[in-house]
Amino acid sequence: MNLLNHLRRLGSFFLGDPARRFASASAVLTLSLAIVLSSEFVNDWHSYQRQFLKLVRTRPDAAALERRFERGIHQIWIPEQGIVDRCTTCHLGLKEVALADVREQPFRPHPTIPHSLTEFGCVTCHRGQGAATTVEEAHASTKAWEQPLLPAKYLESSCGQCHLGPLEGTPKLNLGRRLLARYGCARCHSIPQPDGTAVVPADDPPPLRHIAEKTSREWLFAWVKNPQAYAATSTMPNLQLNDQQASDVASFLMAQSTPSGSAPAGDALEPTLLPVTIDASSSGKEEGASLYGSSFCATCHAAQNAAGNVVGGDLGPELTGIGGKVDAEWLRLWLKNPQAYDPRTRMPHYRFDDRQIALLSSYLLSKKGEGLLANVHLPTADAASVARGKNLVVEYGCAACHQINGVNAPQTFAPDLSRIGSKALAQIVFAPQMEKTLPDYISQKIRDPRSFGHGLKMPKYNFTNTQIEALTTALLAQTGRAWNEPKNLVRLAPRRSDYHPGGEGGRLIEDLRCQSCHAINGSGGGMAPDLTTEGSAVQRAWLEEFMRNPGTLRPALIRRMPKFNLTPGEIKTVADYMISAYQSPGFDPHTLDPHALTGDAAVRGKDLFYLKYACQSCHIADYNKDKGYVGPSLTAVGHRRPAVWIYNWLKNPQAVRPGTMMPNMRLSDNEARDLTAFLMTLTARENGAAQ
Amino acid sequence: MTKLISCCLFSLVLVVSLLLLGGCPQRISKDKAIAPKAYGTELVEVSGGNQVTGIGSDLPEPVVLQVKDKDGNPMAGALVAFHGERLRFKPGSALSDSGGQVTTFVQVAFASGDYQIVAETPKPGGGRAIIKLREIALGSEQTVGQGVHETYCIQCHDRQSIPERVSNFDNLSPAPHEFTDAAALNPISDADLINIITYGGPALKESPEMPAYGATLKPDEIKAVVAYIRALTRGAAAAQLSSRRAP
Amino acid sequence: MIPLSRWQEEFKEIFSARVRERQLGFRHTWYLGSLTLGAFTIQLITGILLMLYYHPSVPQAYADMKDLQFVVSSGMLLRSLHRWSAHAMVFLVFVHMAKVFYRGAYRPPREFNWMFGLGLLQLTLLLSYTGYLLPWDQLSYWGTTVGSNILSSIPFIGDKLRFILLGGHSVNANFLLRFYVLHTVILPVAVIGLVAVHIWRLHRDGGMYSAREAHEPAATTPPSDSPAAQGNERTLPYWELLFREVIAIQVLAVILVWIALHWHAPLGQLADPTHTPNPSKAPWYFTGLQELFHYFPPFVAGIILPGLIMTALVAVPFFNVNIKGESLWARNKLRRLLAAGVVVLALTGFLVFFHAWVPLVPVWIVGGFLVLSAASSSRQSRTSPSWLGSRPLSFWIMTWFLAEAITLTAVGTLFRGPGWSWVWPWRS
Repeated sequence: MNLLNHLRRLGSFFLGDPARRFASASAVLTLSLAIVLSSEFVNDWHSYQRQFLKLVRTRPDAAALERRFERGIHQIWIPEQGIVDRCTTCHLGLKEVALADVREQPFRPHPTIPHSLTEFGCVTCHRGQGAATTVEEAHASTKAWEQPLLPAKYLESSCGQCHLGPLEGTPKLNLGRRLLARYGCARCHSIPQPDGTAVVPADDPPPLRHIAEKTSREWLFAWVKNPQAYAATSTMPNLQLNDQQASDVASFLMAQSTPSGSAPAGDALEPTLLPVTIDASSSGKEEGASLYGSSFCATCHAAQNAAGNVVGGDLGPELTGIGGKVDAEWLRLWLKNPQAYDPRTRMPHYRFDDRQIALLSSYLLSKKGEGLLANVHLPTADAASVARGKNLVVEYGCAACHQINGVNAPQTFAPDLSRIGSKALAQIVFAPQMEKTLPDYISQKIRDPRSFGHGLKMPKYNFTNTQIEALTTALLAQTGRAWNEPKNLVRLAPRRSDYHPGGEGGRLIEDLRCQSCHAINGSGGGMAPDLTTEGSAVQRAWLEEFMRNPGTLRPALIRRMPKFNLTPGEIKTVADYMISAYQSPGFDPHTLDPHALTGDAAVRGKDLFYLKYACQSCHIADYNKDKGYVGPSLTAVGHRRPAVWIYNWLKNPQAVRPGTMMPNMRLSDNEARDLTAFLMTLTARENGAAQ
Repeated sequence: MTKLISCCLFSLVLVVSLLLLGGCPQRISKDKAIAPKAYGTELVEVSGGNQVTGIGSDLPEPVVLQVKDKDGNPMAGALVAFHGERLRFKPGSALSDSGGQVTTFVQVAFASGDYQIVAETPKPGGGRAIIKLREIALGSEQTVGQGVHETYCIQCHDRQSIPERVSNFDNLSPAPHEFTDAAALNPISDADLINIITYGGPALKESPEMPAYGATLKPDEIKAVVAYIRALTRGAAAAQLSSRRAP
Repeated sequence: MIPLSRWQEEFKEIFSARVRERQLGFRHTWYLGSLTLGAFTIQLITGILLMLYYHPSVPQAYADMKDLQFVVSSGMLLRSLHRWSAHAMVFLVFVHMAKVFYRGAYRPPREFNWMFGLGLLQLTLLLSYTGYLLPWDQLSYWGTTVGSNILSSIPFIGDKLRFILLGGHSVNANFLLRFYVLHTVILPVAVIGLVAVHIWRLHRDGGMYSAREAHEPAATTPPSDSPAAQGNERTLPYWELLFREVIAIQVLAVILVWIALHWHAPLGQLADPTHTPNPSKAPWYFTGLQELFHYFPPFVAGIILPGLIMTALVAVPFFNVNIKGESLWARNKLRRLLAAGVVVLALTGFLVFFHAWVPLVPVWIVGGFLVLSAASSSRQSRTSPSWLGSRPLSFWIMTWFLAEAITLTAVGTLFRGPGWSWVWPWRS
C-alpha cells in the first residue's frame, strides 16, 4: 500500500494539474529531441574515424598521418560520370602508402592497380552503394540498394566492363572469355558488344545433313545421351535427355540425312578408289600408327595414349573412340577429301594415296575407345519416333549449332547476355536453397542449369570450379556500361578480319586449310606462326624445302606442321604467292648493306653470341655443344631467314612479332650487324629427322 | 463509445498485429556437429598444399588429407576438422572415407599473402594429430607478375617440364633460381632484383645467360614480377611449391 | 463594408469563448482535431527543413534522399518524422471524421463546417499522395503511376486531365515538379486556409459539440452569471482547453519522435520506368481503393464509387433522419428489418456478380450486428445490446463504410502479392 501511495504522490507531482502536465510533457519532448539529435553522433563512420586516430597515434609517423587526416565525411565526386563514393570516410588508409603494413580492414591501403583511385571512384570496380556512410548500406544488399559488394574473386569482371579484349593482369577474365567462345555459348545466347560486333563462337559443331553416311543410329543415341562418355574433351554439352528421347532424336537425325555426294565422282589425282584390303596384322597396325604420328594428326586431334592421358590438339574432335563411331567407307572418303563431305571443315585436304588411306583407316578403326555401344539396343525407328525426334530437335535448339535438314537455326533461342552482369536482383528467380546474389545465380546457372525449375532447356556442361569462376567473371563483366561510357574510356576488342587469299595460290591455301592454324592478315587460327609477312621473313628456297618436308623447328612441341604430299607445281604456286604477296614494307633488302656482313663481322658476332649475350642459353647454334631449348634452333638460320629480317628482329623483336618471348637486348647497330653476319654463316643442312 | 465498439477495435488491432508478427523471416539452419566413428594417429597430406590462387578465390584443387592409424594403414571414419584464419572451408569438418581420405574445398579471404590451413583429428586416448599447410593468395599486382612469369620466365626458371613445355632449366649453367627458392632470393633486395631483370645478369655480376628485359617489359611489369616472387618466397623458407599453378 | 468592430467581435469570440468543464476531458473528443493539426504542424516544420536539401529533378531527387540519410545531420530523423507524422495525420483525420460523425457533430448549424472538414480530408489525402512521389524510388514512381492511370478512365476528359496532371504523357520529371509544387505550396496553403475557416466556424457554431445541443438550441457563450440555465455546470475560459490540447500535441510529438528514431522511413530502389515491381501497390491509405480495382472496372472503382462515398458523406447533414438521431427500430420495425434484409441481399448479389468476396465479408458482419440490434431493441434493459438497438440509420451506414474501408485496406496491404494474387502474409 505504501508503494501505491508513493506512486500516487509521484503521479500527482508530475501530472496533478494541467500546468504540471504541460511541464512534464515539454520536458519529455525536449529530452527526446535531445536524445534523438545526439544519436547522430553514435554512428558507424564516427566510430571508425576514432579508431583510425587511435591506430595512427600508436605509429612512429603519427604526426604526419594526423596532419593529413580530416574529420568528417570524405567523398570521391566525379559529376560527369555520376559517381559519389563515400567509401573513404571509413576506409581512411586507402591512399596512405605509409600504412602498407596494416592488414585489417577498414584501414588497409589499396593494393597497386593500373588506375588511380580518383579516376573512377570505388563503386565502378567494387559495386556496392557508394553514397552510403553506414556499413550495412554500403556493403550489403538492402531494400534501398540491391547491388552488394562484388566478391573479390570476381573482381576482374569490373575490368572487363570497359576493356572488351584480352587484358594483361586479368587471367580469370581472359580465360572466361575464351571459354565463352570455345564452348559455343554464343550460338544460343547472343552477346552483342558496343562496337557493333558480337561474341563469336570458336567451336566447330559439325553439320548433320549427311550424318547417316558417317555413323550409326546406335552411336548417335549413345552420343546424345552423354557426349563426354565418348570423348572426354568434347565441347558438346549434355542435354539430359532420357533414353526414349535420345532414341527419338537419333531416329530423326538418321531420317533427315541426305546423300552427301562425296561418293567417288572422280578425283583429279586418283580416278578410282581401288578397294585395298585393310591389313589388320600387328605390323600393319604399327605402320598405321607410325603414319598417324608422322602425319602429325595429333597437332589438331587429341587421343588417349597408352598411359591413359589425352594428348593432342583441340582444333579437331577427339579420336579416342573413332573406330566405334564412323563407317569404314565414310572414313576412307573423308581422308581422301574432307571437303567433299563438309565444305566448311577445318581439316586440310591431305593428298594421301590409297595405301596411306588404307593404313590410316585401319589404324583409326582399331581405336574403339570404351566400347560405348556394347549395351545399346534400340527399338526400330518408326515414323512416330522420327516425328517426336524432330519436335525434340526443334525444342532443344540443336539447329542453333548444327546444320540439320528441315530445321532452321532458331533466332534468339536463349536470352541475350549483353547486360547479364547488371541484372536486377528483383528480376531473378533463384533456385531453392541457394545464396541470393547475382554471381551465385550466374555460377549456379552454369553449374546446374535445370536446378532452377522444370521445363528448362539449357544443357549441362561439366565445367570445373575454376572454369565456372572464370565464366562467371566474364559474364559479370557484361554490364552494359561500355555502351554508356564516353568512347575514349572504352577499349575495344581487337578486330577479326574475314581475309581469304585469292588467285591460284589462294585456292591452294584454302584447299590446304592453312588458316585453320595460321593467321594471315588478322584471319585464321593462333596455333601456328602468323604468315602475314612471311614473304619477307623466310628465304624462298627454304620455304619450298619446308613445304616439301616440314622439319622440326621447335622439337619440344607436340604440334608440328603436317606433310601434305604436294606436287612441285603446287609448292611453287604457294611459294610464289607467299613470297610476293606477304611482304612487309619494313624489310626492304637495301636497309642492310650485304657487303657489311664480312667474315670479321661474323667472328665478332660469334663472340657476341656466346660471350656477351649468351644466346646459347635459349638457342642452339651448334648442336654439338649448345643445349638451349627455349627458342628455335638456329643451326640452319642462314638458310631460313633473310639477313635483313634477322637484323630487324635482333634490333626489336616485339616490333616484328608482338608478344614474343625473345627479349629486346638493346643492341647497337654494329652489334646487330655483326650478329647477323654470324647467324648467316649457320647453314647446317637439316636432315628432316626430329632431334 | 461503448464497450462493444472498443472490443471490436481492440480485437481488430490484435488480429492485425498478430498477422504482422507472423511475417517474421525464417532462420537459416546451421551445420550440425558430426561425431567421430574412429580415431587415427597421423594426418598426412595427399595433395592440395602450396597452391597459388587469386584473392577471394577458391584454391584450384581441393585439399586432400589422409588419416592413418599407428601402423600406417588408412583409417576410415575419423573426424578431421579444418581451421584457418580468414579461410572458408567446404566442408569445415568431415569423416574420412574408406581410403582414410578427407577432401575439402578452400576459399581464401580478400587479402593477398600467406594463409595457413590447420587440420586436426583426435587421437585415440586423447590429444590431436595436426598438420599445417601453406597456401598463397595473389593480389592484383602479383597476378600481373604471375602472367609475366608465365610468358617470359617460366621456360628457364621452372625445373618441371609438362607436355606443352619442356623446361630449359637443366640446359643452363650456372642454374637459375626457381622463383620459390626462398633461401637464395630472400637475401637479395627488391632493388637488386629489379636491376637484374632490367639489365640482365651482368648487372649483378651474374651470368649473361639471364637476358636484360628492360626494353621488353615496362617498369610496372618488372615491379609486378618482383611482387610475385616475394609472394612466393616471403614467409616460407622451407616450403616447396607444387608443380601446379593457378590458371 | 464590414466595420472593424465586427472583426474584433469575431476575434473576441474565439478567445473569450467559454467551455463547459465536461468538454475539457480527453473522453470528449480525444483531442483529435488538435492532434491532427499538431501532426500538420510537425509536417510543416520538418517539410520546410527537408526542402533545404531536396531538388525536384530526376534523378537528383533520389540522390538527395541518400544524402539526407547519410550526410545531413539528423537527415534521417527529418525524413522519418515527416513520413510517420504524415501517416499519423491521415489516420487521425479519418478517426476525427468518424468521431465527429458518431457524435452527430454535423447537425445544423454545423453542416458548413462538416463540409470544410471533408474538404480537409481530401486535401490531407492529396498532400500524402503528392508527397509520396517525391523520393522517386520504385514504390513512389509506380504507386503514383497507378493513381494517375485512374484519371484516364474518366470518359471524354480523362486523358486530358491526365495530361494536365502529368505535364506530359508519362510519369517523368515534369510530373515530379508539378507534384512538388502541389505538395509544398498549393496544398499546404489551401490546408492552412481551410483550417483557419474550420476553427473559426467551429467557434461560431458554438464551440465543441455536446449531445444536449441535439435537443437544445446551440449555446455558444453561456453567460457565466446564469449557471442555473446551464444545469449547474461550471464553464471555464477557452485557454484551459487549448492548454490540454497542446499537451496532447506534445505527447503526439514525443511518440512520433521515438518512432522516427526506431523505425527509419523506408526507401526502395531508384525508380526504373522499364521495370514494374510486382505487385506495385499504392500507399496504404489507397490500397483499399486498389483492392476495389481488382473487382470493378477502373471507372467504377476509381471515379464512381469514391464519388458516391463523398456525395454520401456530404449529404449526411441534410437528411432529417440523421439530424433527429432516433433509433432505426423505433418505428415500423418489421418493415425496416425486411428492408434491411433486402438491402443486404441486393448488396450480396451485386458483389457476388462481380466476384467481390472480400467486400462481402463486412456486409455480412455488419448485417449480423444489425439483426442483433433489432433483436435487442425490444428489450428495455440498459445493458449493451440496448445501446446497439438505439443506434440511428446513419450509425449503421457509417459503421458499414468504416468496416469496408478497414477490411479492404487490410486485405490490400497485407494479403495481396504478385499479380494481386492472394498471399498469406506469414508465408514469404
